[in-house]
Amino acid sequence: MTMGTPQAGEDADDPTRILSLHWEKVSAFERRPEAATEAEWLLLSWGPSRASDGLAAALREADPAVRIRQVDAESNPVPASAGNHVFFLDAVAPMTGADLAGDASWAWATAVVHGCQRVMSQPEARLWIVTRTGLHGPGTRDVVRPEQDLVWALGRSHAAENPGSWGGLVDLDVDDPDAAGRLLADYLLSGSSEDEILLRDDGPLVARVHVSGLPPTASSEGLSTERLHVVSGGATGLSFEIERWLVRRGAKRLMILGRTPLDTYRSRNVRLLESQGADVEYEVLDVGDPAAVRSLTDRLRQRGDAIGGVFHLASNWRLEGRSCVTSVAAATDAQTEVLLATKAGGALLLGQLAEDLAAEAMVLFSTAAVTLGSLGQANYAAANAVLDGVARRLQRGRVRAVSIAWGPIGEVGFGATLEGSQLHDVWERLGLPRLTVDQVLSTVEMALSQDEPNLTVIAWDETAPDLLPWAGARPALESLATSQQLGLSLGTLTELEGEERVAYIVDVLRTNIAEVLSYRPEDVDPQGSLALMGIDSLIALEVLFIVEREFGVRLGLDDVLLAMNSTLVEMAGQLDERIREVAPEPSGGVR
Amino acid sequence: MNLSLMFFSGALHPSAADQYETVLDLAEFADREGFAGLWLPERHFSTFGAPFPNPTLLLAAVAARTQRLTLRSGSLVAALHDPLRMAEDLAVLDNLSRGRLEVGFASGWSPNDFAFFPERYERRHAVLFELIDQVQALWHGGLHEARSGTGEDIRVRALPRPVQPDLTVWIAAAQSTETFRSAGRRGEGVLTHVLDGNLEKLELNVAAYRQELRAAGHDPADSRIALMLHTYVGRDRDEVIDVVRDPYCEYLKSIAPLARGLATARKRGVNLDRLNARYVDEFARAHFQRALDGRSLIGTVEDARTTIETARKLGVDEVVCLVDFGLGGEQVRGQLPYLAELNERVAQESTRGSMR
Repeated sequence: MTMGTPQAGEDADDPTRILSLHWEKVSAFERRPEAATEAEWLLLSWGPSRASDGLAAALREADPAVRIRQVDAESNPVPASAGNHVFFLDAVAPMTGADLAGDASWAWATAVVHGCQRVMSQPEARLWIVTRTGLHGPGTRDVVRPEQDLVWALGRSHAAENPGSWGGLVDLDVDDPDAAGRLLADYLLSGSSEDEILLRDDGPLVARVHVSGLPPTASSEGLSTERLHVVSGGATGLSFEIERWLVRRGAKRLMILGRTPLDTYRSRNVRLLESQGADVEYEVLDVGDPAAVRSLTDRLRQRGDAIGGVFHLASNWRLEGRSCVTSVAAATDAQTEVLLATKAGGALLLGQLAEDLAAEAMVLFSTAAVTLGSLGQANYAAANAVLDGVARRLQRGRVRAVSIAWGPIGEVGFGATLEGSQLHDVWERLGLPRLTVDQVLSTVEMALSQDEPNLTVIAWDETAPDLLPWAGARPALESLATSQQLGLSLGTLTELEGEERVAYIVDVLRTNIAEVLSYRPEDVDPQGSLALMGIDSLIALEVLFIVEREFGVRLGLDDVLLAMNSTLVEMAGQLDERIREVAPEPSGGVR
Repeated sequence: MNLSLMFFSGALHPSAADQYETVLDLAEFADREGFAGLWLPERHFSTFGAPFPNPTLLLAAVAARTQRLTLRSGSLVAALHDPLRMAEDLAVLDNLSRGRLEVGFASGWSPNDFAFFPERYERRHAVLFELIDQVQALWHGGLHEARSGTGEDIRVRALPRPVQPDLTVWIAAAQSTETFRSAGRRGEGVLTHVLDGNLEKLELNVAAYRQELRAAGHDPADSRIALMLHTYVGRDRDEVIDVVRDPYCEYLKSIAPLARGLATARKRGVNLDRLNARYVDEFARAHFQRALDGRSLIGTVEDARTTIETARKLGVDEVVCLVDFGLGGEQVRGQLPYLAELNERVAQESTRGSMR
């Protein structure tokens, strides 16, 4: 179908899609016989990992002939291996604000990056990463590690970049190391293509990204206008757009956090906000600096300010004038550390500020590359992923928090730079056209009124030339891989003529409508009124989808609702005319 | 033909306290002007209908501020409550109002609402009638089988005793003929809507209801069909449409995410996640057009009378004026003089009709 797909022009749908990750229970993984001895196992960890010991024991129990090496990468060199790598982060201490002061604070993260790079360069090698976030799936845990979300984004980009060396991501939510080892062995020896797993005492769950054109149900109201709203990222770019938006919706007091003092351009922006009636404070502050954020928290507490929203947009992605954003394979430690310091460190520290000062809400600006994986943006995605963890951690307490992983945003910030623009051209080819600032602002409004802590917001173009090529190999992304097929019944229809066509359309609609209504097809009377069959406007919407799927024709809801007073036969007749209008007769073959 | 008032979604004022003030003021208005009743809904966990998690509690306040009006839950989602608790609360209300309570019950549909009793969701349609029977039995002074804290099987009675000997019950039904039939068989009223404008279907459902009512040996004069209609009456039709169009469409759009739950409740294969802003816009516009097209009381008093007459011919006994659908509290109050006029005209016509 080409002409029959009326997608161009002003008839085009709103392409905005809201993605959210859900955990689905699956039955226990079943081990393949002999799987344990197919390759050597290199069990890496950062610190002495009990889960690694548990897995080693379970593998030996599975087959005493198994070859295992356990290496604590924090204090030992990592040997080369062409086998299965499992990198354990369960022994890494949860990060606190103070940890972020030292250069070594993210050493565990760069070690995992090296692990990825090592397996990519070894034929046959594969990597699984085991985290212990305490923040996936329902329930509340005493110990949480939001920062470990980092390797989830890293892993997703690894999968896109180098699928052959990719194993999977496992979040461990099991206390007993032996039980954890057995559950891990079940998964690792199963050969399952699932690569985002949550292991709990009552069995495994797998990640699935749900895609919707509709926002989640609204369950709360926005922000108080009287409170002080804090925005990181300076008085420019997307931060400035958020500041203007806050003032437009009545915010009276803003505090803007910027890394450098105001220049002429930014001063003008601040004055613009003030001229709209807001009281604006500008703080020169590096949100990745624990001492600076701590002192700000203390000052705000002393002033007795009630905090409204804390918006984290700050991001530093340049080192010596060059972009640090790159692939897993090419990422250097220096680049990764620059990206982590402001985006991830800032999220952890501002998250703490929001919690300490009992802020109403926190909104963290992240990138869709976290959820989807990326080619060439792995370290940037990894830094942003920490925002998801922070949002989920806060959400379990008193601060309403949401991280929003945006598709490429065109007009401002990174997207307005040369590097950003080139990257966004790539995304466009992969099916993610640029979002406008207006789309972003209306989505923030929506995100603040619902309860999902992690939302991914993209524009989605199913007709893109290279639609997210790695989605098909990643079960979590299956909902994006199967694009809606249109015109399924047109092939048969074009071989028919006259009354046969209408009869065939009736047949197709009858079968589908019966399914929607949970009737048998023979219970749907083609000569009876559709309205009397119990078709209401919600079902009418579904009829609309059915017609589009089967015949590639997009009807208006008004058309379908009007047709409700007629019969299926009449509806089919009108539909036949419509199909003939939009789809030309095939030029050869049938006649 | 009777007229009553109903609140449905809230969003009248930013604060819940102000919304309750408007609810109570409208209750006093309805009481003064001789409306038949005031309906309050039960809603959970969503901004839509946020002021209304508990109609029983709010109706207690209404009872204290009114004299004649019947108090109606519209509807109490029975499956989200313990029958003993319901029986006690309803008896308190009946006493507070000196016998003015009638109870609308619904089966519920949003899976999340069943956070109270998740195990009841699958059987919610059957559970509805089982629970109504239990509440009725308790209302009549019956004993309820239960278990004590020490594990003994006991039988308990709900107190206080209600004022009315019998509890008048309404069942919420959308289009399901089966629900209309059940209500008829049981001699209960039906609270329904024509959001989708299927007037023909409503007529058939009313006929089915009445047939069951007669067949079960109830007095045909006890037929009670209440039809919800979105209501905003004013002096000039075009002015009214100007006031109502945007708030009404926004209100419909805010329901769209909730529709996912409805689709789940209907166990349907088609994925409403495919709905997007364009469909939702279309949905809202199409609905608004249908509402103006004789399926609402949006217009002048004359327009409203025409629609009410159509409803009467379909077998409707009461028109329920749903007043909060995206309009602000001040707008809702603004129409009260016209609503009073409408009620008076309808009452006069009904009296004339009965004398004929």
